[in-house]
Amino acid sequence: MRDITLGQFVAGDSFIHKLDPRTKIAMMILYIVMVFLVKEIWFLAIPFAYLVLELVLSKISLRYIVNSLKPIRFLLILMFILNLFFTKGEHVWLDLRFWKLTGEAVLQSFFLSIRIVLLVAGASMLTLTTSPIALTDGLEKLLSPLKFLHFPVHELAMMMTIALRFVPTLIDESEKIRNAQMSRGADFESGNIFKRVKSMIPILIPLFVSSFRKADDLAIAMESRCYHGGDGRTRMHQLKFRKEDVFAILVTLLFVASLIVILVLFK
Amino acid sequence: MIRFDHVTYQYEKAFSPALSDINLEIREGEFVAVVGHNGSGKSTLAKHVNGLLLPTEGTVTVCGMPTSNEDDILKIRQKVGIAFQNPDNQLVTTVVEEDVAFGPENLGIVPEEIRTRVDEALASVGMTAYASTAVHHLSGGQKQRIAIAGILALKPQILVLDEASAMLDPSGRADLLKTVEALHKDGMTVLMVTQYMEETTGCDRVVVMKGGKIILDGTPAEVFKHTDLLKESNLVPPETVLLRDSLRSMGYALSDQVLTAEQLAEELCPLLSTI
Repeated sequence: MRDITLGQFVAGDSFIHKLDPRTKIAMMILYIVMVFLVKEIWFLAIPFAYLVLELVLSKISLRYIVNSLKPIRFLLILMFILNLFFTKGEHVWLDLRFWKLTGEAVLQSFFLSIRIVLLVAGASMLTLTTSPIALTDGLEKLLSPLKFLHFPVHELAMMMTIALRFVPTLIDESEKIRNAQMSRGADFESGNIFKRVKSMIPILIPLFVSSFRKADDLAIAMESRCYHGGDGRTRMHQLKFRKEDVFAILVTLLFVASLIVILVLFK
Repeated sequence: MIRFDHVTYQYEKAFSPALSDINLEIREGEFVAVVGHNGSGKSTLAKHVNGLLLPTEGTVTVCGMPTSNEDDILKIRQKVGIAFQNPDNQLVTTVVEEDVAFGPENLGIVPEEIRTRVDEALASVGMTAYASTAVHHLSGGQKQRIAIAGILALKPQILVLDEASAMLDPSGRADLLKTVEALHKDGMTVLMVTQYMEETTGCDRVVVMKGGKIILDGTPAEVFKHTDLLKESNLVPPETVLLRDSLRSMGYALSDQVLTAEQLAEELCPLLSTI
């Protein structure tokens, strides 16, 4: 639980792991574009092939991808059934008088489900191969042009960094408070859902108070270490594009281009 | 190096000042301990050294720069590093080496230079092996050593410890003290605020505070002559000093210089033969 900071990151040193986080973010965006460009089920084969290629190169076990799909399984089933019922079509496979099962509906249901699976799996590929810290650095760099529009890019990245740093600390803290309240006779385990939610208040209030104190302490410590905002700040770990990054982007663009060509040809 | 000149500080809404008319000078290379009971003003004093608090009256100067001058504040904070009490609340990033790099990054130093500074700082607190560990996997004592490494990476001239050992277990506290003593040997000026009297026996100078005033200022041997005054200020002198005093009251001739167990043993052994 305390390692929640790592998100679903799986450490490794594969080709994909070693790519610059900015490259991986760009790859994911291009991949999502590919998935959305496709309007017919058969052409999803191209983004699917891309995903498989990425998965093989990252040496990440398929199990992790399947796990990342678990939270959306009910949504998937619901979407599938709704589309079976509400998609109109010509080719009737089964007529139950009040409802006709059509070939188009089946195709549409599969198409939308596969599309969602591909989207979620593709996004997971990013978080599985990139640590949250690298992701934060990458986002800060990618968003940095927005600074000219007075968008607080550095502040946002610093907030994410600090949040990641303090998640395990706050989990520890809430555990301590919980134990302290339990030793005073607090009951967190019985009663209906409303009662249980209400019984969380004696944990949440002290947790809030202590996080304000932590914030205060941290602010003083940061100030003592010469922190004065993002202006003139350098980083020890510089993000560097290497030739592997160029290669990865080129391959991704090749996929996008071939998808567009195929879509135009078969229109 | 650091000069407190008639410094008075009053917290808002407080009845009496936390510091009243403090005059103190800390010279280069000194290892000074500031001791006092809760509310004696010792932490307030520490927060004045790098301008986190500005005196209500009087001035604090660091290397000739008054802390009240806002333009110099970054320079002062680079010269004076402070380690605080709570090990959890002063580390900024998840990974050890990135946290150590935080200070130099703020100064806008080039990446290669930051790298060498981080490696040196981690080596001098003996935490090189933990460079890429997540900070929440470290013990309290290790976290404090990382906090000190983060300060050392700024290449300060003065290290201030604001009760940095207060939340540590005995072994963590011993480790921290050892680290600080080693740094002092290498020429660092140290100002250590603490409420543990036994930590002060190895210092050059002990400053005792009570009610916002300095009541004693001298070498440990001089200060521990006044055990009654210390007890009056709710401070407990080290066990060894108490033992020395009670042995003395029984008529054994022990010198004022006896502060640690080793020194006590050294003076007692010759006496054994006389019994």
